[in-house]
Amino acid sequence: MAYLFDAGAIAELLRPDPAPTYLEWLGSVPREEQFTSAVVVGELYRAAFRSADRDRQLAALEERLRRAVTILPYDRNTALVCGALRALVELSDIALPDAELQVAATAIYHGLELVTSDPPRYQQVPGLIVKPVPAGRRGSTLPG
Amino acid sequence: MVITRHRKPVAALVRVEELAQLERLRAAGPEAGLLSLAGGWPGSKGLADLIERSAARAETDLPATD
Repeated sequence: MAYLFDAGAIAELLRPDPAPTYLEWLGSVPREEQFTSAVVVGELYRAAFRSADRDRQLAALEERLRRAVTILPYDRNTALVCGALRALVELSDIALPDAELQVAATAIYHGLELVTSDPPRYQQVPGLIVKPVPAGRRGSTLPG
Repeated sequence: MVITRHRKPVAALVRVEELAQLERLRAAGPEAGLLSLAGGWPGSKGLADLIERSAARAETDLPATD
């Protein structure tokens, strides 16, 4: 199984003490099965631009993120899925921001499970398989 | 199935699923994956806080539906 990581799932990793259960699980996912969306990267860059030490955060994202995960585009095919999803959610009164719908559409189009720290947000999206970030107490040290 | 020329292997036929995996591997490169981000870098905790706050705000900023 391959996975698409949303912004919250990546943010959890950027903390000094990510949950050990998350790291253990992530270590079992092959690199070639780890993906994110260009929409997620946009959210990360937005946060970096708003950061007090913007230049350092932008440089770190640029250097580290691009090498760590394969970034899938938001393109015509995913836009088609997103349009279908938006029509469905509007009919069913599900409240989901545009960016999350675009991320969900990218996961559905590529047949990926969505790894998120906020599963309730996505649980009503039809056709989307959600994998919660493995929870647990954040650790004080990282596994070697 | 391996295609040979003058008894030397020059190409191979692979299943479509294997081709997709090969393309993923090629795109992925040799790096360690997201685990390499674990623990972040100086100041990345603030970045993580901003990402989470921005996601929470997007949810509350949703327009009302008709």
